[in-house]
Amino acid sequence: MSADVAPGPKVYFREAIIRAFDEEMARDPKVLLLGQDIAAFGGPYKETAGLFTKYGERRVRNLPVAEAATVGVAVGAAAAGLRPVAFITYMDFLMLALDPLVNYGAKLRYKTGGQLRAPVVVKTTAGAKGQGVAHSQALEAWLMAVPGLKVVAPSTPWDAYGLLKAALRSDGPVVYVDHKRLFPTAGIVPRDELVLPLGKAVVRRPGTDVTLVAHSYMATVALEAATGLATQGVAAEVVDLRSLSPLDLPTVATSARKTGAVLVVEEGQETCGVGSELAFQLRAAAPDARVHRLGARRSPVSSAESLEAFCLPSTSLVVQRAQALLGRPGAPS
Amino acid sequence: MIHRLLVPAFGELRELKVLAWHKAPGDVVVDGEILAELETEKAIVEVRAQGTAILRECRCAAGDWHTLGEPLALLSSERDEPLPSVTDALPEMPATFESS
Repeated sequence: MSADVAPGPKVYFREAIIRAFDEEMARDPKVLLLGQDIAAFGGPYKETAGLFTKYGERRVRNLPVAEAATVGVAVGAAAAGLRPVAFITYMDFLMLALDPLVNYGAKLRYKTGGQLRAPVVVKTTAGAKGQGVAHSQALEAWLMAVPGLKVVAPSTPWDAYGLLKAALRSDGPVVYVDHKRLFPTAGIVPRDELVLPLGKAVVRRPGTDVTLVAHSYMATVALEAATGLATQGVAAEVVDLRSLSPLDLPTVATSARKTGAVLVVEEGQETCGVGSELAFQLRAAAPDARVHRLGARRSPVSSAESLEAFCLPSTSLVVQRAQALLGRPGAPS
Repeated sequence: MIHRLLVPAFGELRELKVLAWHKAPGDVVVDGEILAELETEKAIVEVRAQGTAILRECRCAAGDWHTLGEPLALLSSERDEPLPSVTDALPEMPATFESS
């Protein structure tokens, strides 16, 4: 939330998404939604509820369980001048659609010497919540490696609203990533219309001892960890990346130079993850800062609750790792 | 006898929206009658009293957010029973919470 923007009502995460779609669909008749269960059913998380009734079957279209075709149609429609949103219910199934997204959508502008663009949004949901090995992954870091692709992953209804609006106005493909554990949360959204910039992180909590960098649901875990660290005498600063590509190195580096210690927390794998990338970039931007990473264990995510929890960074694990980074034995929390 | 109305856990929700009250303080709530409508992140929940009582106090107005674990309302069997300031030890009002 930014100080100069008037706060509006408190809403569920999905309501912020509906509002962004509704405003952008009213503003621009070229915006259309394509995906599974998004029409009369109102979306797997009820995040398109009411839009089918309001905008009709030409602009809110159910598509079959065919992710490659969904994104392929969306990229083609974007090249032809529309602004489609392709819904991929679980991010795991975005794998099926990487060819149209990466080889066509992300490269179209380059390939055509700027004559064609693909203003397409792929909206998907990442993260573990009891659904097992093929419905739980957080694959944002894979997408960061694709030139021409933007990737955003908000942690609050405010940012979901503002970043989705920005994605819907972007000239190139944007992957917008929700998290299953964020849908039961609620938060304030702006009173008036707001389009957030893509590629800007935000400091959620100021601190001086250690920087916790995270995005999506892990930003809320980092905030809880910062509360726990405060009771142990550690002032943690929490940076919510919000956008992974472009990556806001200046905001992270400013914090890193201040605290001298950075722990990057992510739900994806540590290998070639957000933390690895930031650690390398911070070598030049904040050479005196110690940088560590904490991600999922190198294992598939089980549907068994205990095993799922064992795989993923928890609040207490973030506290321990932050204390270890500071050279202090972490008190159990 | 004073009862407190508690909302059960819905998944991982920490708070939920109160959409509407169908009764006002002072009204008699008859067994099975709808008392309030709540909204979770994906459904509307109808709250119905099990047993007849008098609604005495709504702790969260329609349109506001109710923190789970706190009483949503206080009900009593007699109209003039004084309400205690501390409600933690009060027995729970039997009620059903059905999602539509």
